[in-house]
Amino acid sequence: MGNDMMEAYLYEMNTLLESLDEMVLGAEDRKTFSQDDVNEIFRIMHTIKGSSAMMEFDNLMTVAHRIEDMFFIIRDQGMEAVAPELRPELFDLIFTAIDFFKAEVEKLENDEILTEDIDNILSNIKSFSDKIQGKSGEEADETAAPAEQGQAGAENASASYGSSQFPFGIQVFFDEGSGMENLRAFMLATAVKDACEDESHFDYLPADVGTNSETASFIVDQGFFLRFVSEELRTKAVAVVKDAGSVADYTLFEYTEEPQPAPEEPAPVQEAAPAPAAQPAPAAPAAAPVPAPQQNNNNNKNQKESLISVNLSKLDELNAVVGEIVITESMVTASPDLKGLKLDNFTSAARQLRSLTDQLQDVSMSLRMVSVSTTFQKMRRIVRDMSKKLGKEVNLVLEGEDTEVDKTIVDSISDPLMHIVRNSMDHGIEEDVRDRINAGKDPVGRIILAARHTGGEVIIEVKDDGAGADDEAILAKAMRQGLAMPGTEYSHKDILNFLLMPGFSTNTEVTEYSGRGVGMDVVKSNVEAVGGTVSISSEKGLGMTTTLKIPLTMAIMDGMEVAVGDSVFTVPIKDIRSIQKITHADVIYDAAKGEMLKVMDNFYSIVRAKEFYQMETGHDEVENGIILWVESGDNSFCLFVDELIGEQQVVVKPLPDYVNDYGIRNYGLVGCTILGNGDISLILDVASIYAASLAG
Amino acid sequence: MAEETMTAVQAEEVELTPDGEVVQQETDKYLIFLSGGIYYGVDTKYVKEMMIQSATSITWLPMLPPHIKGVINLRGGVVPIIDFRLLMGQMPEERFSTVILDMEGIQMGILVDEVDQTFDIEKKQILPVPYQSGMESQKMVTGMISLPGEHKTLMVLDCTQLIYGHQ
Repeated sequence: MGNDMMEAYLYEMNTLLESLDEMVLGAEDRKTFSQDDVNEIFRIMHTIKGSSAMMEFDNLMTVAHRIEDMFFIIRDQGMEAVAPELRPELFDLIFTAIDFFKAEVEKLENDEILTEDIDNILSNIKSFSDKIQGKSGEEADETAAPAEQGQAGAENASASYGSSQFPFGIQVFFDEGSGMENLRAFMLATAVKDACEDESHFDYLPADVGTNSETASFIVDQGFFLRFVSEELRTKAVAVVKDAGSVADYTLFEYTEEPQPAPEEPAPVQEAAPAPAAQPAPAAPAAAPVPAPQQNNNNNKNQKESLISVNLSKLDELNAVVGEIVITESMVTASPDLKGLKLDNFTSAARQLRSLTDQLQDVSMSLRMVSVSTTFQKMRRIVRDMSKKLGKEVNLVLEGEDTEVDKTIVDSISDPLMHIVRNSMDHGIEEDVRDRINAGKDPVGRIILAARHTGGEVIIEVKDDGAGADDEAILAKAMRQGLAMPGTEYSHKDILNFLLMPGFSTNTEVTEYSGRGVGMDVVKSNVEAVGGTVSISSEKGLGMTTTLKIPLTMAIMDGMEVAVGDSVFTVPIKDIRSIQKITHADVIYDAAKGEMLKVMDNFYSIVRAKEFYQMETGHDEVENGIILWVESGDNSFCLFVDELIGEQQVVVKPLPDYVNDYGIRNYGLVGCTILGNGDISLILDVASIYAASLAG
Repeated sequence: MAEETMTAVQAEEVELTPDGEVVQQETDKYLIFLSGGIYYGVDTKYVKEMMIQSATSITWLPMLPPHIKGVINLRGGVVPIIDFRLLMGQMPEERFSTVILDMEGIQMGILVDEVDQTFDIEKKQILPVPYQSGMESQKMVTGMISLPGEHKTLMVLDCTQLIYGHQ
């Protein structure tokens, strides 16, 4: 079997499970499945069943099949078939199944052996299916009692198969496992027909049992419905049913008048056209809502088909090539060979080429951008599971879900976010609801997950309104772990930083979710791996906020090329506030001979690039050079360089690991770019230069 | 990779043959270069290319140890350049050749005095380095061999150490 097929299968499974997870979570919030949801689950399970069967993963196929069967019942009977008190169980069941699929998919991804024993999950599904079916049976009896007549007919499943034309019905169940139920039903219907002598005095459901073998599963789940115009006919039929072989059980039911405009049921249509297999319940209550969801389904399908999945490495390749094109373009149009030539046509063509390559760049970059919503939705699931397990009621609020970031960032924040959210659930939100009430907080905890862009960074915050960090407890713990020195004064900020150190875990007990002491330091290292930072702020009693700041890996940016001695640097245009020439008299000195400059009514320190990087060449006199007033985040200062070369769009390339390992990132050297003439220019990160210059 | 392990196993088997009959010879091609008067050898499978004097200029990077000369633009790729002679604690000569090494996609250029030749070396003939050469730079040398027919002794370089050894 091809790897491609496996890859496609895994991709499909992951996508389906993710959308399923998201949908079920949404449904759980509303405490019901809409008709659309049910159809979608049905569709997803059907797909999983099919592709798993194709890949010969029988267990996956079986579980999907059972769930499909279960939703078959719900689809036909409506969510009302599942009583409100049973619903939490239904949601749990689906989540268990999703988890099962996810775990299996993960095993497949890691080449591990799949779970053999699926009896547990199957029996859960089975017993639940029985429950909702048993209920429909009971209710059928109840409706027969006049007291229940006023109840909405839709509430009970059998009644929904009632018909005004044939108000008297029998619901027949065949012996379990007898097989070929559709044919048995067809034979039964034929026998009944003989007994009634007139075909037009009764009908049966599903109508196409004789020709459609798929109706068998419907009959197993729901029973086979016979409906008659009069009670006498039914009594006759009951006798036939009793005598018929392999009939396990039968129930009588009557059609009850619907409060809704049900009577306009298009009975003749139903008679004339044999109901298609996908719609074996053409009874009144079901008939109306069916067309709409189907239309929706079609829309969904169209939407999905307009997306294709592309291997990430191909995108990277595309981005690299586009980057090269941009460089080559400027190499061609700014070629020294063209100097002094008057080339009108060439210039105008070159200008057009430039605008097209710009466009190409934008498109190719946007390909890698994805919204954080998928990652955020995953947290919903974690919060849901943990709040059940820990018995803490917590609301997860998502903000800025649409924020788009580079795919690599999304991948790298997924695990850290999970750790943080778990921490908030486990350690943050109070153990006891009374503690929250006493503190004057909403008894339901709240975790806010927010994402937003600020300039060159994406900021992701996890904010909880829990108990917050207890400085003393943390410090005591840090001492025990040997992270803090006794007798040293630690500030609030220092103490919070202990939380990010390896081997720190504030919980006294190791829980299932967190507290293995590998949480926050993993968060830190994961985020730092993509050049980001983690910070924690917290006030005792008010909760905790963990902030991830991650630089957007802007593959292409606008830069200002500046020269210092023999070297060329690129300063991001977005960080430059202003550029000016100054004279010696403008420079203000502090006691430590530090230089400052007054710009726009504020004083800023001057960082001389030549001195900062301990370079041998470059201007020393301020009159000879030029000042860039730069700002990034809260950091603002003046950078002194020799001269401006010009503005250019540059393709950001990472510096090789070999040199990064020497920590030059801390000195503001975050990447480089290849200039039109093939030279390399170093890209400066204003914020790190400021931090490094403060550190001296 | 798989091939390599396989041949390694074979080599072991050859050694285990009781009557000492050599069935197969295990040889690798090594590129030999001169640096500070010493001959070094590096497995040619790691050598991507060689340049007599570097055609492209090296971009200097601040805040790095002196043996890291900077980075070059190698057909759109940014490759770090190490002065091998400084790394080995030798005095660099004026002239130099650049050898670009490529290890599973990680590239690095080293500046050496002169590229000499390539040579087939039998794996078994590589002898261990005596411990007394405890110099830091010697860590990158995993074995020594006297080249047959020539009065040269070769230090066999470990590319993994060269590229990752500083970490």
